Amino acid sequence: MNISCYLLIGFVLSAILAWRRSPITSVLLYTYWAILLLWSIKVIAPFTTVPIMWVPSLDIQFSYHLDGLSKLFTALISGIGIIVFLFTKIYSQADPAKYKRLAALLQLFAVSMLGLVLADNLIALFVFWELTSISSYLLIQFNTASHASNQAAFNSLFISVLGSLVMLVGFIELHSLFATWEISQIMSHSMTIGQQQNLHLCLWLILAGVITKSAQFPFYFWLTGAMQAPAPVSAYLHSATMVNAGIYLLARFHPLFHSLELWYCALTAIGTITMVLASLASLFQDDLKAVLAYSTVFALGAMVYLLGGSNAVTIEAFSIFLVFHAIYKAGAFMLAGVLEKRYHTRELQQLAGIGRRNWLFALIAIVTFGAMAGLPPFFGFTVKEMIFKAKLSTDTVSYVLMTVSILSSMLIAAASFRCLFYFFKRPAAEIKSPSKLSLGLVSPLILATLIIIITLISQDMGIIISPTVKAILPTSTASYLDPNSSASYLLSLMTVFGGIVCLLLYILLRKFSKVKFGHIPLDKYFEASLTLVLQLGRQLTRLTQGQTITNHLRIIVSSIAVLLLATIISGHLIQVHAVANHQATSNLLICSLLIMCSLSLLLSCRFLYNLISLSLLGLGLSLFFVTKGAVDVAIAQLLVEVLSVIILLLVLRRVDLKAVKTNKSNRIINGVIALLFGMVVTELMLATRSINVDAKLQNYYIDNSLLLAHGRNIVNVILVDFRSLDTFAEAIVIVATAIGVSLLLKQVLTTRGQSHVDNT
Amino acid sequence: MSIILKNFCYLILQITSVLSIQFLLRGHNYPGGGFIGALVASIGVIFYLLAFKQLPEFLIGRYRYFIATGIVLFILSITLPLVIGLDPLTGLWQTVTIGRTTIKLGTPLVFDTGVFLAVLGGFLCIFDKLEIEAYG
Repeated sequence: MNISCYLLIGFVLSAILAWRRSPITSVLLYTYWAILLLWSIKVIAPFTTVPIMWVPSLDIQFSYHLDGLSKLFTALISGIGIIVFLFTKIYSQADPAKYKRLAALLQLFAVSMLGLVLADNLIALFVFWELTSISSYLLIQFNTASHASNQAAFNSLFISVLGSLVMLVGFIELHSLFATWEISQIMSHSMTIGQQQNLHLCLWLILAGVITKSAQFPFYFWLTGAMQAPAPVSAYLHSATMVNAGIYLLARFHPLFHSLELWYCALTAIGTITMVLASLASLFQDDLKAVLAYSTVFALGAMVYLLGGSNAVTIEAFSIFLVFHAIYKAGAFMLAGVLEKRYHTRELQQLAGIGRRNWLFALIAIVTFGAMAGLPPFFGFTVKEMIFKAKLSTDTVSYVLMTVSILSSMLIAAASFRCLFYFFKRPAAEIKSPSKLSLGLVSPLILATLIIIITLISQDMGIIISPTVKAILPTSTASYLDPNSSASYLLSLMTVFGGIVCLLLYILLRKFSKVKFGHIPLDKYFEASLTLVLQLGRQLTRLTQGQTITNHLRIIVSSIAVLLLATIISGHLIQVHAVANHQATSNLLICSLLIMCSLSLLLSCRFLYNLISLSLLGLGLSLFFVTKGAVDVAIAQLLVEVLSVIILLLVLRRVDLKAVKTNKSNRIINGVIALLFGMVVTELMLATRSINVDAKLQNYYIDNSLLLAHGRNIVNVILVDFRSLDTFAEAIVIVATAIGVSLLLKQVLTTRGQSHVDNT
Repeated sequence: MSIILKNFCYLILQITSVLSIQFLLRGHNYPGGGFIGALVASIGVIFYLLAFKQLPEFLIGRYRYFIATGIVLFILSITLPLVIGLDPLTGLWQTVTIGRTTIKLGTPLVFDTGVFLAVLGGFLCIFDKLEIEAYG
């Protein structure tokens, strides 16, 4: 209850931020997140809230569950959130109007993310999941004028929505297995063997959602494209939100799935491939933000890889890496943002020597990028150590995997060394720079301080993350292990030196060739495949609905005829009984009239004659209705016939009707199609008549027309009383159609009028 | 266009106008109703259009009033029962006695008038543009 209210307040706050910007709103914003941060730190025992019903008949409700895992994520979202909001304000000082929108969107994004990590109901979780997709779409295309950001935003939305829809199917499958939407109940459920079998399917489907959201191979291109967003967005998106949603879901479902072989295999494979490709690509980027984006992808790969394991050390390493990565990555992106704002470039070459002119910047850069590389004095080194230890601690150490992950860590280290190298390189030419870096450094400074603090209290990190580990691995008893074991220590050292070696190798390579490794143009493939689908659709449309209305109608009518014919031939239709007809004489007359009309319609090649025979046909039909006692229908038919002929003539009066002739072969084709269609429909009608329709409804109308509705004309009573909602909708349709027709006519007339003017 | 035809079409418009209302009102008990009434009225209008090449003066551009009134009547017949506490669109009847004749009036008639006006308005909306077309 309270959490729902709190989330609602968050959304309202977002609206207020979009509306106006004042000190009060800022205070509200910071208070909102500060309360949340304190709350997430304070709450110790896991609990589930009293749900608020949403769709009671389907058990869909807003219920929240708070345990160590969601606590950690809440702390990350709110903590990093505060710093990002601070940064946003300074970042867009020059343009307050823009700040309003940016802050509002960021708030929307953060609150949806918060809902995601707190939700206990799968459907509620899905709703928040989609909300993060939509708000991140709006954030990425923040510079609406830029084509690149529009494209990147579209890619991100498309990919994550595609994945989430598949994931929704997985959720539904889970629901059908456990008969509950609540995650906490699913987790505490005991499973039968049959359910174990079905779990594989769920896992596959949910994985689709995770790898699209958390930018795993082959979908990571949306994240590297997302660097088009303003720096505060990138800082938030890459560190604590959006991409972490997938990681969160994996961690959330870890207790359910980790016993499956598939879990380990899939996560290890996906994580490793992503790690390798991203770290390789990261080294070869010249854009600072691109380097950082690829390193995020690498980190996400590493997290997925770690979550594949199921012993306490691995999960500990995962939790610590999650926190630490969020902090240093946010800091690094903010640094990039400050540089971009100051120097209007993100190219590393052009940023050479930045670190020499500002000691504060230099300090922050060394701390953040050092943390990213895992340099020894910082906690990053310890994190690396833990990760390696985790990998070594599995029952079966795979040396191939080990080598691969060490190599990719080296590459990432090399990439961050490369950034530092450029920052402190002697600049080729003096950069024309504004006097000093702005206040923007405050936020990265806070983060850098955080990194240093964590380094100082590294022994106590275990206490902080132990609830999280408990939440992911309820059975674990192991507390935080001292990472200083010799093997992993050596490996971490090796990574640092390997990074330096890799950087040297890279510089050597660059001397000889300009080849970029590791960069797979996945976004191009994606866009190409989308274009292909669009083209296919266009071709199909052209084929079936192209050129003329005649063709279009032919295809529609003949396909209906063929489909019905196939149904009739295959015997799925109910057998037709002969229906005796007692009004033979009057029917015979009308029928012969109708047949004559249709024959003349087929045989004459003048348009006007066709029109006349068509309206005669309509009149004949209304006669037929009269003999059957359906006077209302007959009158309506008659009037519609008259009206349509006059309208047609009015519209066509300036076309030379004598010139409009259909050629013979066309008429033959039309005749054959019409004949076929007529036969099939006749068969269908006869079949319908031979079904015994329940007469209850019919009798109800007959009995109650006068009694309840005070009308003797049953047709009208049905129209305006018994089924008046239908009539209401139909009348609205008629009005809408008329307005559409009049607009069309207007357009035709104006274009014709213009061409008329052009001619004169 | 000959004067005879013009006068004849004018006459038709007058006759159909009356007829259409007759059709609308008797619809509940005899063949007819709002839809048929609207069709009859629009046939009258289109004959006028044929002869005079334009809508009657008082109808030009007025289709929106017809449509709007029709929709208002729909809303009325939907919401009136709601006010009393019945389901929407429930028919409410009231017997009115004027002199010797008793008439039953009810929300279905309001609804039917709504259909009449909305459909007629739809046709007028098309005719309004056709008239310009006819001038070319």
